[in-house]
Amino acid sequence: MEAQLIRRPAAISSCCRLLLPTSSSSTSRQLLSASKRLTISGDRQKSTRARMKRAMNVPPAQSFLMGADASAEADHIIFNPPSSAPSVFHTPFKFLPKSDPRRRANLPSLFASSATIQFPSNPAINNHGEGGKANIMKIVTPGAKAPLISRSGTGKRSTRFTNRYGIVDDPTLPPVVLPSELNQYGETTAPSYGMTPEKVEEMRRLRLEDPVTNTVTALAAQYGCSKLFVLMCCKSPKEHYEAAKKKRAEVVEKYGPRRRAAHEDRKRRLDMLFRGEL
Amino acid sequence: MKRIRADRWTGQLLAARPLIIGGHSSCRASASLLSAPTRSISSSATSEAEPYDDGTDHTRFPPLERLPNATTLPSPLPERALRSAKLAALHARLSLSQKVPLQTLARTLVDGSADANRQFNNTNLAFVGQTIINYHVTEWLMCRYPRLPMDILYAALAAFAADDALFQVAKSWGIESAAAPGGEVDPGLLQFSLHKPSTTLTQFGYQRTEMEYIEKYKWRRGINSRVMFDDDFGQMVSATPGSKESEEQKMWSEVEAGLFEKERKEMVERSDTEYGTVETRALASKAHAHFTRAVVGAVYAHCGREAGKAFIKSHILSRTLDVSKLFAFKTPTRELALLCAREDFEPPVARLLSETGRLSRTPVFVVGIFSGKDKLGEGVGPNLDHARWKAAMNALKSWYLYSPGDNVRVPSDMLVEGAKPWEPTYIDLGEVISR
Repeated sequence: MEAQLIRRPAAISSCCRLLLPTSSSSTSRQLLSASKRLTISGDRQKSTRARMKRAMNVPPAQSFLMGADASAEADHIIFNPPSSAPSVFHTPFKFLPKSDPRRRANLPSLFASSATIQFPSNPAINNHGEGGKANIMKIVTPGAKAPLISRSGTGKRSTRFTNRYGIVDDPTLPPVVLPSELNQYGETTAPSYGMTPEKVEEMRRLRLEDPVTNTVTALAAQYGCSKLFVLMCCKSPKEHYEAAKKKRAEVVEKYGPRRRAAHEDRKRRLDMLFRGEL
Repeated sequence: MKRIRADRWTGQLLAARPLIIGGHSSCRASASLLSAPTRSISSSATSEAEPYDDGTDHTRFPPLERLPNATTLPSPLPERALRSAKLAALHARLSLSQKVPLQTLARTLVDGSADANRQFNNTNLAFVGQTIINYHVTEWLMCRYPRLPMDILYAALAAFAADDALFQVAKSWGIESAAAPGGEVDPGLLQFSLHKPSTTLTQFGYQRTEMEYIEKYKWRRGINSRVMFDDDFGQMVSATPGSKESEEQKMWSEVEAGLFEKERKEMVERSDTEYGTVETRALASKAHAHFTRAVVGAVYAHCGREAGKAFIKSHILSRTLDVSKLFAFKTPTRELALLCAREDFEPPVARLLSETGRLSRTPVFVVGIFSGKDKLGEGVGPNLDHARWKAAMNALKSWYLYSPGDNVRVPSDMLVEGAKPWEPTYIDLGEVISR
């Protein structure tokens, strides 16, 4: 159902209208929010030619309109570059050494609040009103149990606010992307800050005593930390480790051609990313 | 009246009469007195000036031009350089000064594998050229990109001045090579042997005692030890034959050498009939690179320091290299966090600048890395993690690729008379993370 809806954006509105009074489950609400978004962006054509023409009549960029002013005779530069990825050879202001003449020539930017870039027209910030949620928060991924990006706080634009990981954040900046908090099973992978040496010792003891009951997942849930942290500080008995490794190898051995190819491709893609080839 | 029956003439009459050039062996003979004793000149062969015999039946296929004289010399005589059209053309094509004689240019074309005598091959000139090229390229890279990590600096130096790059330079000069070296070859052709390995140039660096283990067990070579022990390009200095080895090592190396030797022999046997095996390509690349270095050495020796520098600048440093493509990272986010901590910047934070198609099959996320309110880098990816890593990598690259400007001054600019006073160049603190 979902897949069909996404594939046919024109059919979404009627479908959802039918769904709305009958279903009250959370899945349909998610569906609705997703479909709304699609109808907004997927409006490609108008019913009549005149409306279509009017919709297509996009005004030129601001820099082209400068010439129509009273000072039309005066020379001016049209600066309207196409959007492109920034070059790594343009050193950010913060990275310029103290002795660099560019730094001295650009002293005002040293005292400006945002030295390198301003975000006046970012909808995520402009829509950020009472309630403290940016509009990106409204996007709900069907599979995930919590949003990937969090932005919570007091909701006052002027004050600095903290998100739920205790990071003090500035509301004038775009939302923070944390390392993926949830894996595909909905388990937390976010860093934890409430660990003590005693807790770690206890965790190690439990893991050594009974690695079958005290799995990494169970310990992570018990101590409220990520699985990576458990793996970093605990060591299971050697027999258990070997058995688990063997079991894992057997699982991988049973992969079919598609899953194996996908698995290998994912690894290759990651390697390529780190070599800068993607 | 008797008819002339040309079909009954002997081959001797039909073959072109060889020109006899008087006193051509005198210069060579006097040179041989100075040269190493390895060189043997067969005086009878040079003095009689017989036509070169390569097994062709000259009765059936009369030669179109004068055949070179038979000789047992491993490389052509220096005086033949004056009559070679190819050599004159090369001299003109490279816009070399008249101070560089054609004889020297001919000598740069004789590789160590063609003629073992150091007085007639290009080994000495290539050594001079190598040191000068490496000096100028390193100096320029240091001043142009002062923050490059050491391994990237090695890679960049190799991209300008290693064998492969100089092979391309020689190819762009239109250098052709002779099928086999010998005294009868046109001096304008590059001469190297496909059967003998080329002589290795003297290199800086030490041979590591643990080299066998590094190769066998893939031990890690830290960047500090590479700076200390290895050669100009950070590559291990290969073994010398007289080195000390333990018994086990010896056994291993003998087995490996046997295998290698067998393969090499096969390759060498095939090299005459096949074109472009791995072995022949490697030999050709090395010989061409030695030639390029030797030309630089010749320009330096005959025209001086400034001319040599200008030659390197116009032929080697003028080549385009995208330094940003040389980087590879393992943990970019960690490296960036360490960098920010070291430089007293606020810790880096990834922020979502824009996105499209989050629920589609091909989403695009644009993530920026911010330190405080300053954006350090930006990356695009199909998921948030990829975009974040890419942004961190771009931020690190923009740190490492800081440049004071396009036309930076280098220390060797000060050697010119009347140079402006030296302003100290920017020197970076050093590596952020050990690789």
